[in-house]
Amino acid sequence: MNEQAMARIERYLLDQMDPVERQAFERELKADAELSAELGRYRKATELAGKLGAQELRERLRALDSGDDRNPLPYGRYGWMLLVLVAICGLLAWLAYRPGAPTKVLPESRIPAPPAPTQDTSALPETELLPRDSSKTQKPEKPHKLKSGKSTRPESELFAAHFVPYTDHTMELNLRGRSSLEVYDRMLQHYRKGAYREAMITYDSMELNLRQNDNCLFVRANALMALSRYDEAHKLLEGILSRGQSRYLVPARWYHALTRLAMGQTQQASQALMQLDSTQFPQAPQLLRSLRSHIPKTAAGSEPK
Amino acid sequence: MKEANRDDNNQLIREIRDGNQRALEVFYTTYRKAFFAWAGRNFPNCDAAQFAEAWQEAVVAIYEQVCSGKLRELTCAPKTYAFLLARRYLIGMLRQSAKTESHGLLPEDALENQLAGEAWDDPWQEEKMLLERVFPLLGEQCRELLRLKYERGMSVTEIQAHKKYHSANVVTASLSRCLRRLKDLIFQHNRKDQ
Repeated sequence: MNEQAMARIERYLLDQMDPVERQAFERELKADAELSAELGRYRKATELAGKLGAQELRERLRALDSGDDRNPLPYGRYGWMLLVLVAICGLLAWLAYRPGAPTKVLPESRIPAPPAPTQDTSALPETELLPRDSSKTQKPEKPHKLKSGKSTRPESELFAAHFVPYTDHTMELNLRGRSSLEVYDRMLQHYRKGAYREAMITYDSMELNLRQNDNCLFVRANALMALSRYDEAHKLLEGILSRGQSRYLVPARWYHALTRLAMGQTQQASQALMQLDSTQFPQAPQLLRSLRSHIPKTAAGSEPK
Repeated sequence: MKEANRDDNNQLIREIRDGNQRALEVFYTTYRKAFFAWAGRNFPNCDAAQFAEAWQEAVVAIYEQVCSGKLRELTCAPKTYAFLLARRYLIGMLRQSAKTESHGLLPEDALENQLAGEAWDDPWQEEKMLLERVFPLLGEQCRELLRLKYERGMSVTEIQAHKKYHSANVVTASLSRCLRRLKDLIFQHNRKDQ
């Protein structure tokens, strides 16, 4: 089927023909079997187009289900909150009353410093930065800091005390007019609101080249960490660090160390923390000290640079 | 009182019609556990994966029925209606897999009788598979434009206003491009299957 014929079918289906042209086209359809068959294919497409919303809903429901299945809890949706609360209380009690323990509780968590702009080698085009919008004032859902009901290991507690999903000014984007980037924008919106599952769903709907972009992968890695999927986050961060192309390369090192910690790889976590620059990551030495005092077998040799 | 109940029953329909898919997600999550408990008692031959599929398809069916205008008003609670649809789906699955007859029963009412009398096989199975394959390959913008046009039935001018495009020509050109892309994807899918 030639280009002109297809353009005419599209005009016909989108009601862009005037009555005279329409009648002529319909007469032509009766006489031309090939044109008629092509119109049939287009009609099949319009029929399916009417079901795209249902498919989107189906995928969202599946995503909700997979989230539920990963964390089956006996007390419904508030069960994880209860378990996290119990775990935190338990940890605080342990820290306060264990024999010979310092009275100090876990160090405060801080967000890593934003990376220097010169490190931005992103594949994403320059974006228009807007003033902080109202969504900034929305209170995000807290990330799943502890894998509910599964673990109260000191590493997990330390991770929970230090992990805050990364945000900086580069995430306050408002990109318009470019379809794939609009999706990226939407993913960031979900992410910044703390709707990590929705951010993941939006990520999955992106075009392949954007899904492979290291900046998107960094956001995805943070969302995965917030959803307690540390292993997947770790693999993504390793890829980002090895390629060295993300604008979030510096914070990626910190989060890489945190994933090690969350996975219980204390030695590797210590080594990764020691390699961090303490001027950029003032929380790294604190975490390293906590690691040493809480987990004696940690082979942490020296302070971070 | 009856009027108030009817209003409650149709709140979900109004939300869907206004394009609020989130309301349906909340509905889905709220009654999922209750459905699993009910289905577990009444369909002992089905497993949790089948319950999950039936519940999903019931909620998707409500969405489709509202969008297509087939469902404008409910005379029962949305939960009851969704349970009936899911029950029909489970019965269909049981029939298909030639398992033993189910004894899942709900209180008698007109809708129930109507559904129970229908033969069931999933006529949309092929279409669902097609959608599964094609959906991720279609860009986000295309999906949205096509949905506005063919699901919500908006005209080009309405889409232009809704999406704040400067010109209707942009909408028409984009829709043409997306429709052609979708048609080509379907064609590729069919060719692979042959």
